[in-house]
Amino acid sequence: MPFSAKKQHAPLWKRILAYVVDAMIIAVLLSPLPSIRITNFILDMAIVRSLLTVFLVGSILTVLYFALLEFYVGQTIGKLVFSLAIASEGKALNFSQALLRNVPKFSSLLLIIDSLPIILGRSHQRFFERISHTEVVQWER
Amino acid sequence: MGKVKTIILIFLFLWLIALVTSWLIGAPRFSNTIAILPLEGVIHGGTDATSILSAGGTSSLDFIARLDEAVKDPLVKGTVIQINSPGGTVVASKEIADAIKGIDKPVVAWIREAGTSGAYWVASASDAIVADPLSLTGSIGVTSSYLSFGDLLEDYNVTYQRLVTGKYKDLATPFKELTNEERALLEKKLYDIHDYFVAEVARNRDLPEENVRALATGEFFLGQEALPLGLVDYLGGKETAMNITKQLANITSAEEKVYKEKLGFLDVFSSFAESRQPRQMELQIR
Repeated sequence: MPFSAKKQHAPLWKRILAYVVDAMIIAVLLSPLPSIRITNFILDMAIVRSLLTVFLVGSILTVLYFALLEFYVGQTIGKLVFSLAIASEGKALNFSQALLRNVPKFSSLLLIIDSLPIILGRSHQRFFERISHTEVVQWER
Repeated sequence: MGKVKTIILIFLFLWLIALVTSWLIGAPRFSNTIAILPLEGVIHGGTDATSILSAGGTSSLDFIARLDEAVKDPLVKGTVIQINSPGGTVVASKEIADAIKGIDKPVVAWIREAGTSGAYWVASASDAIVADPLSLTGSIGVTSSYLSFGDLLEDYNVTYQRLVTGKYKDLATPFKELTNEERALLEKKLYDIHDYFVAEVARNRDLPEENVRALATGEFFLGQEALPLGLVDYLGGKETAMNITKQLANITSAEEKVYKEKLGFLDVFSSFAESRQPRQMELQIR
């Protein structure tokens, strides 16, 4: 969805709520993956490998969930619920932009660091949104 | 394509990837585990694949390999040997008992229907024995009985042409009667094994050898009879066995992982072919 002349920046609370909805959907999406219940940590290669595999697959699927939906639909399910959409600067959103802006969703910590400009009130865009020339706007029905 | 349709398609696509990945990587464990190793049927010295149809028993070699795999897993804190066996060959039973004694993690034997003779030898090597009150245990003794066809062959005018280079070379062939000398020799071997068996049980169970010898008449005991005799430690089932293993391992909770024999499609055919081969006489403790 290209920027419209009457674009409105998405408020932070709406973005957080949309993310919570998406997180719940992602939990369902990742439900087939083995659950991780660590009651005893032993530094064993087999365990480390299993942990890494589950983490990697989970993270890749999370990033793909956001990137594919934003590229094909222009919004995720959470954003759809809260009338938010992705806007690309000047041109239609392409897949590399959709992928790049969602790279920080690989890990929660990375996402928090990436969101610092919004949290601190310095910008309406995350770092990776600026790099990918995208932004989240209020979607007019 | 409608928005909802696209969303559903993408969701299903990603969910399928998660499903396939999960199937490919299996179910990794991240918590304390108690390994359960079934010891079923006759204990023998072959491999599981070559005897599953003929005996449905447990191969000592394959059992020890599974035990080794379980013990090497750092998350496995203890092992429960789930016994339902009438015994088996001498060496195979001894091999398993020796392997159990070499483990530095707790091993608990759980006797279900039967854990007699060679299977009891195996159980005695563990740190504790749990048996159902009505299970069969004990039966400490050795047998080498066999069918003799000598007279039957004579009735059909079939003669045994004896061609040997030593007088004991065809000892215990079913085609002729045992001589007194041969019988004495064979019985001596059986008593030697019996003595070894008794001494092992006494040592493993920390019982006076004369007490075990007095019980080693081949008689089997119900679990409830075996408890006051010192042949088992606890009466109960799986839950009791699991709780005692956790107690010995000093852990409060654990998952279970069953280490079963792995039988391939082709193994079934090879075992069928193998089961048609004549079997040699074996000294059995059952």
